[in-house]
Amino acid sequence: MSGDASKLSILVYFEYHHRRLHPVGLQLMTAAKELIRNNGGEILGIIIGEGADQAEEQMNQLPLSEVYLYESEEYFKSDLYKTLMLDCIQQSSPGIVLIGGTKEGRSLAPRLSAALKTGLTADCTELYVRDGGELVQIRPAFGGNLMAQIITPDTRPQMATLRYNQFPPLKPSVSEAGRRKPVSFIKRKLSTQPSSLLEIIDTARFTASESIGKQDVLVAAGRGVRSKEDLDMIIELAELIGGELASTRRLVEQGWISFHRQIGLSGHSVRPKLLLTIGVSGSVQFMAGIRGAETIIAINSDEDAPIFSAADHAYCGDLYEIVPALISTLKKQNT
Amino acid sequence: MIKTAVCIKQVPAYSDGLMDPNTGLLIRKGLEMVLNPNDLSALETALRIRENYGGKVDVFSMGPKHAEEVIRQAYAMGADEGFLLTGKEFAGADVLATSYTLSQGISAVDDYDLIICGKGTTDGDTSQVSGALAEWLGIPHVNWVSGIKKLSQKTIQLCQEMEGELYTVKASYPLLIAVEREIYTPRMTNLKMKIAAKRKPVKTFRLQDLKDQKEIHYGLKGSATRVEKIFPAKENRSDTEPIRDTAGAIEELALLLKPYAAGRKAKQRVDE
Amino acid sequence: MESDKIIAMEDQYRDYLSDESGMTGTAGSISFPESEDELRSIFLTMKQGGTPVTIQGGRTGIVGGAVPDGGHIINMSRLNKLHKLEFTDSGAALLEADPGITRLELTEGIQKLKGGHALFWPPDPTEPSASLGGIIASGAQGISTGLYGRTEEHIEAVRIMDSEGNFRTVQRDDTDFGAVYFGSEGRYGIITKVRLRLRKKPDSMWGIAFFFEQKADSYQFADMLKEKFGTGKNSSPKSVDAEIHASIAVCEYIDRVSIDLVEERKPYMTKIRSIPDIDSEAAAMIYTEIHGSDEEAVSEIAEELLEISVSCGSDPDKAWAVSGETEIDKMRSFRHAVPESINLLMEKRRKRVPGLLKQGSDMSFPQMGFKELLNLYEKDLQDQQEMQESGLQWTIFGHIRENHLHINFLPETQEQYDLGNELITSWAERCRKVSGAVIYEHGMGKIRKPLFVNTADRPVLEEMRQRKQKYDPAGLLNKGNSIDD
Repeated sequence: MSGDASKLSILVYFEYHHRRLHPVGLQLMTAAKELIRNNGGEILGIIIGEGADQAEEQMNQLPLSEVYLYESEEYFKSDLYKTLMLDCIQQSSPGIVLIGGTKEGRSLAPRLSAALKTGLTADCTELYVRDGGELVQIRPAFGGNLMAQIITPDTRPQMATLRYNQFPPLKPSVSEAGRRKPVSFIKRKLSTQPSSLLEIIDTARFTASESIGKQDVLVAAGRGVRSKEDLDMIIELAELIGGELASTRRLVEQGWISFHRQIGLSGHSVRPKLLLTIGVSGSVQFMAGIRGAETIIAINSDEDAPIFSAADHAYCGDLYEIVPALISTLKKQNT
Repeated sequence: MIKTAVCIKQVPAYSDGLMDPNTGLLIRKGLEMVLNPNDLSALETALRIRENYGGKVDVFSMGPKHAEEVIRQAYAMGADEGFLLTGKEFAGADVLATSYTLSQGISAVDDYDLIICGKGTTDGDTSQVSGALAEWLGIPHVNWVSGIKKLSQKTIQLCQEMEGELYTVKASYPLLIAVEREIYTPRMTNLKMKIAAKRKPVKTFRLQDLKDQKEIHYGLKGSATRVEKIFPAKENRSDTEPIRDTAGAIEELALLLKPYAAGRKAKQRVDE
Repeated sequence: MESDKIIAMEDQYRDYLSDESGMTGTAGSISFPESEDELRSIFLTMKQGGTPVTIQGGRTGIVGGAVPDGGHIINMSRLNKLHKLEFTDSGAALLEADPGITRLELTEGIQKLKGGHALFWPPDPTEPSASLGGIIASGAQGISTGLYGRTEEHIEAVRIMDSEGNFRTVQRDDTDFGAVYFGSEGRYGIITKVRLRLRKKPDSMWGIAFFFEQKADSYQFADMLKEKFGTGKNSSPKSVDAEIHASIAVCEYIDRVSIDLVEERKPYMTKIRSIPDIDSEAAAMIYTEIHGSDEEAVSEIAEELLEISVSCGSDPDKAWAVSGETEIDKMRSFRHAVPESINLLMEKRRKRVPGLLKQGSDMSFPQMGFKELLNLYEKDLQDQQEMQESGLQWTIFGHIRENHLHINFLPETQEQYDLGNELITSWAERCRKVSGAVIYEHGMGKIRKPLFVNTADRPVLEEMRQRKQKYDPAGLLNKGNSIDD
């Protein structure tokens, strides 16, 4: 048990497969650390999976007080993982449970919340905590035009999934860890080993469909790009930020880019979380396809370009100066 | 013979563009309501199963009286029976209360082999009702189903699209699945069936028709979350003045894109 | 004063040298006026230097009407606001709009106006990025004129800037409106504002698609529809509330080649991606819409159509029926994807053979049966030895009620292109003889001008000459769109 009842305790679910932590765990840590910054509290972790105890070393570098380890099956099964997670919550009675807004998290969290008969707020982009440990959860609503502020007044724990890649990852730190109380690891084994009604009979590596209509990050090139060869740097930038290349109708007409990648009235309507447009002026044809984009960053040399009226971040300048410099800056940041 | 229940919802035709750009107020009047596009794929999945293995396809919805329209649309695609959970007690429900209400309605009708949900609704956009519904029904569930590999009277084999990995999952009935939009292209509503649907009855469920009639388990009262307020997401975009200083632009862009570059690196590591 | 608004033609503006026809012109400068005053001062600056101007809207025209022939381009896309919506004492809903607004912006803008959500502007020339000014200048009609009437009936007035830079308002009932400004491709003045007459949306709308394994069956169905439901035209009501009981609003023919062209593109076009593939046995489809204030009456007509289709050999289990704006929009997008896919295909072919422009006919043969008309076309297309030898491909789609079909050739070589033009010319000749309209709604622009001049009666041409002399003696307005340019 986690001691002082008045102290805020937050349970973070670390996805763990193939003996690796999913990056969303460290993103949840950033959010959790922020929540206890002012009024204090503790962060607990849970790992379910095959070889769970092998995560100890990495966990040791994080500001966690306790980590529950459940040696289990390699692959995610909603019913089994729920049972184990439920055990952990009964053991640790956290005030808040944070789960990643990943496919796994969004499959696990609702099942768990119904089992606990408690509230769940999906896909939060901002969290803060009030005195008394009440969690304020903010998430986009109505296609992202509006934000909803949601609380869970009466039931505990308060559960939230956090949008993937919304929070920066917390950097594990050996030196900081040295100054903290060491993480205590609790290896749980249930008296009757729970089983699943699901059987995973095969798994395969798989790359999500590259259709630009389904991508979270898109980099769209427009007629500001002067030659087909120049697209290479746009592609490099797209790869650097985990995005897919998209294009205006113009470049498709030029024959430089396949029409599979065309955004607009006669192409795809896209709904990425981030759309970076480079040398795109923003014709009616194009603009009709980008309304679902959450954040738009536009680089264009014409200050009157219509794209700027839709952009959240607008940069008027020469793409041939900006893009190469940006690529090298991002590369430096990454090393 | 496979008995299937499909959960469907009536949603506004446009999930965005709902807000008046000048006043920042929601535009509700005259808003067209449609059948949630993701649910069409769920219904198509069920209809194909019935065509190949026999059985029936029933549809369930919760909402105001006019949500009957989406049930009639399901009829025009070929659904057998439709049930609408309606009443003021059900209004204002969050994920917890919605899934509970649906579970009460579904279990009042039949012991279905399969419950099929869409990936999520375009208005609530949480993708959370399916998992909670399965828990209430006490049956296993599989989200992100992108294909059906094999099906027999006793078991089903599914493709489940997880991140970077495709699972083949085998399960016995009863089972709940939430299908991806791309699993099948939904059929168009059929003229003959659309004409017939106008006269086909929709069965209405009210609180008193359910097994659990405690009002506090439904609607706003049965919801564990409360929406405190709704506010505009951001400043009006057209107010953004372009930044002209190239060096400054590069610096700012690098900062904006940093999380994506970092996330992408992490993602790569996982995929290795 | 406005000299900074006039931008020398640079590479980044090269898109503005062409339109959807694929034709490319030249220009020395371009401007994007944001007000009538700016427009006027830009125009007068040009006039002073004797520089001709080309007025551009959405550049969605397919006859080169917006393609500059030297001089200056005035692009109207930034004059795109909606102004006041007024309800008059007689019950009309009048909306003032800038000419640069697109069809899409107009539709969405009306929804957001106070009191606008139940209203619409009926003309739907299907291309969402077409501008209002361009629709008026080309005389575009679209797919629902059969029920709602022609485009000009939904315009109350236009404000015109003449070639002296003076403004005046022309009401629809003024003789100048129809005779001079509507459909005259910017030859006699510049439209700077439009007052539109809106209508109440029908309460119920069904869109129904019938499929036929034999083309001949679809022709029979089309003729039976025309016979049974006539032109069904609902004369333009003065009041916005005037209700239609239930009537056929749209009746479109789409052949198999058109279907195939769309289906090739479909996976990559979001707005139609959710439409399933059409049965490969279908040789033609006929898309109809029924609009009305009474759902029951609408479905009664649907039942009648179903019966007729069965008698014409269409499989009743395969007919699609949708209702509501969103679903109808999707079906209209499918219909619009036909010319769109043709244009995209031709763009690709033009990369190899630059001379291949959009090649579609735009003729209406009112005094004929649908089957009779199709037989006439097919005789030339299928039976002529020259056609068989050349391998020239074509598609047929268009409006059944006006006997107004768009035969689009899909040439791959210059020889094929020339052959297509020959056929279009011969049809135009025949069309003229039966008093049909050779150029119905696309305008003649620069590409179809020779066809028009060759088939028009002399007095018509003479009148056009005199009019140009009267309204634009210096020949500065939309150079190239007048018969003697």
